[in-house]
Amino acid sequence: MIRLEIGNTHSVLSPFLKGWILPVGLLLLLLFHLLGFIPMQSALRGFCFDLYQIMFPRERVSGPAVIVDIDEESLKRFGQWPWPRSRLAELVERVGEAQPAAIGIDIIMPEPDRISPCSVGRLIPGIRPALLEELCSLPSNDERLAQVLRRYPTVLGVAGINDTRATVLLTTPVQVIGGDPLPFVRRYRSALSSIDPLQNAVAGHAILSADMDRGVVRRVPMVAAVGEHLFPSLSLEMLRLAIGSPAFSVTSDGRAIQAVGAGELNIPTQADGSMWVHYSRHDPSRFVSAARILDGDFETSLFERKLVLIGFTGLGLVDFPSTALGERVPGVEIHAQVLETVFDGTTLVRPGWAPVAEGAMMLLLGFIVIYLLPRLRVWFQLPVVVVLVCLLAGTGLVLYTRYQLLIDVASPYLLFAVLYVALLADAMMTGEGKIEVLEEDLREQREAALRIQGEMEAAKRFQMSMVPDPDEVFAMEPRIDLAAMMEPAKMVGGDLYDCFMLDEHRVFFIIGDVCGKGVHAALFMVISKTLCKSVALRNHQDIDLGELVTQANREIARDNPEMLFVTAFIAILDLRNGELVYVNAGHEPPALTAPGCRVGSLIHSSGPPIAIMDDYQYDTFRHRLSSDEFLCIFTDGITEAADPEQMLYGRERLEKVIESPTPESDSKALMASIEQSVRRFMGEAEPADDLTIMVVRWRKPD
Amino acid sequence: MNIEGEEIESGILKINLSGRMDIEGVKTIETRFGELAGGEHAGVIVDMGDVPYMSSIGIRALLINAKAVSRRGGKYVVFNPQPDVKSVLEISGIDKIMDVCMDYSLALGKVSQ
Repeated sequence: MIRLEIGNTHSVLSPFLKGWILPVGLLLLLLFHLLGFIPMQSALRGFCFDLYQIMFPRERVSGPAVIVDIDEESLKRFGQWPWPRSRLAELVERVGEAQPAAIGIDIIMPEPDRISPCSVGRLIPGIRPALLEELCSLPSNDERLAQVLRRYPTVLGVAGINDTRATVLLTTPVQVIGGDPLPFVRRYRSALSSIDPLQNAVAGHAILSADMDRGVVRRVPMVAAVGEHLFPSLSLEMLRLAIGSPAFSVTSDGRAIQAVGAGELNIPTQADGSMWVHYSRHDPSRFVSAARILDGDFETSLFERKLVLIGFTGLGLVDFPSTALGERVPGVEIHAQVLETVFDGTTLVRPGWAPVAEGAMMLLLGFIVIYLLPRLRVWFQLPVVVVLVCLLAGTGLVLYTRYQLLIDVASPYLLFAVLYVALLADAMMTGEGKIEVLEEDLREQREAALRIQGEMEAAKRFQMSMVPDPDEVFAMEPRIDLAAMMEPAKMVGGDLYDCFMLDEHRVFFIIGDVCGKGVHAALFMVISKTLCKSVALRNHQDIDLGELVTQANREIARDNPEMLFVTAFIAILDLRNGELVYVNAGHEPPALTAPGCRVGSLIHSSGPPIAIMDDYQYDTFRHRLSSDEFLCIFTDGITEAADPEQMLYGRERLEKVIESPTPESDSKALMASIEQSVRRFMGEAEPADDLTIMVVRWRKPD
Repeated sequence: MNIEGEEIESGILKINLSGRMDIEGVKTIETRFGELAGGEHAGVIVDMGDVPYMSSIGIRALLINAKAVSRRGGKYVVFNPQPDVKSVLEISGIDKIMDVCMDYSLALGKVSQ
């Protein structure tokens, strides 16, 4: 009934076994994860991959790409943008002369140059027709640029837009390996392109667009489509020119794009033909100012067999997107970084099996939280959680740094955290419930204690009520002077006494001590006493006391599972002649005293205490009392009463007190002197056992 | 109280008791006492040389275990009680139903029969 779980060091987390909500929720979450339905998961994943790169950014090994940068300095020196195309032609020519592997121009020129000689001449009012004709016969700036572009391996790009305007686009031949890649790639309806003369002049056509993910460029398409046409990215197209391959390739298995390439080159991609950019830090050494090139202030080795990008950084000309490292860089640098990763073979891949692996991690963590953690001891939970967290983070990092694999560990983390918090919340709630239960138990216990105390009190009262008042019993009998007292110890004791007239002339009295204390002992005492009395009354005609005790013992010993026993002194006094017949069943020998005499005792022992051996035959002994002789019977509560130092009162002290009573003294006075002496001796100490004394004197009839 | 069991020869166990055999004392040894006496030994000698005092609860402990031993047909001897304890045994009449020996070879002889 009393449930107390003090010292329960087991987990405060309650197992969710009975609940099916959590496991089912976990499986649903997994399903959503595999289907990609979890909201904000892509943001979380992006954050996770950014973190990898921030911790271990790519190291720049080779520098295959150089950026010719139309920067603030160039604009200051050569005028604001747009520059005349002739200036751009000059720039491309300077670079081209240094024999680069390819030149990628990250600039779209959708309109003709307005400052070509002819266009400018037309703007001059009243210009001589001959002069205008002469001017217009000069090659336009666009033609000049086209001439230069034609001479070198150059790439121009288009920007994908979602207008429906019709455009004529020139594309690079594509070699499709496997299934049709079109359904998987990023598609634009239309594109913004440079004017036809320029498009016709270049050897490579690329798409420049990259989608930003909240201002961060994490992935760039290596292949995209405008309408039905596939375009390579600027970097891929430059690589194709560098290799000298007539076409770029797209490998698809009919469900996803697997790689892009050109010639021998094979670059693994994501399913949509994009690539996770593996960023290194922003590095100014990638850039060379266009002003320096136009000034001729450079070594040809700067561009020889390099991949040269021409782009802007001049303020106001271009957006600065963020990299995964959190740096804002000009878009052209991202192209350069892509070229570097392809060259160094450090392209990042998020493998097709990644979601499954992540799902497995989620499942494992989920089951650990739901089933394992609640079974661990509290002090063991924290290390387990820490180890799991480190293991997970470590796995993600090692796969990234060693194998350039992107596995999302943030999603399993989140799941873990959510489940753990749910579990803690549940534990807290059940914990509160438990506290209530504990309080309830405590109250029950108190009530039970009160009840038991009440029972004790009741038993004590019962025990006291079972012993007679000798004054009442012998009020009409002057031949006997009998005094008796019993004081139960704090808890119920097992002492007993009784005295009654067996018949007209005989007095029966018994004093006993049940071994042990408590309710059991008290009940045993009651049973014993009742039995003794009934046997005595039943057989009083021709009684042999030893036989009587033997019978009573047989009755009492029959059912005694607690192995309790009673030491007892049982006697019958014949008031006519003072003859005392007695049986001593393992009891302290009673003392005998008379005025002017030494203290003696009834030394005979009839046998062991009652209830030990059911077939023991008890002997009977006799003693003839004289008229002034006191018989003092007591229990070991008297002789073994202890003072605060644990000294025992002992029989010697008792004998000294009762020695040589005055002739006037009676049983009551003698008993009182014993009690006083014992109490004085004990002092402050609490009696450990019942104190029981009976003093009997036979008064010779006159 | 303290209690120790030692097998002095095959089938004979000597149980050494020490300390006051009152309510508190008996409480500390009664379980072990029961385990030792309740074993398979044909003879059990309870050495009480180091017990300066014994109350009726001590008698009960001796009796319970004596009964356990005799129930399986074994022999049980109380050995070498101090004078006070010996007189308690005599007063309570226990010596009438249980062997109490002051001599070790005699005790050994009783349990070896």
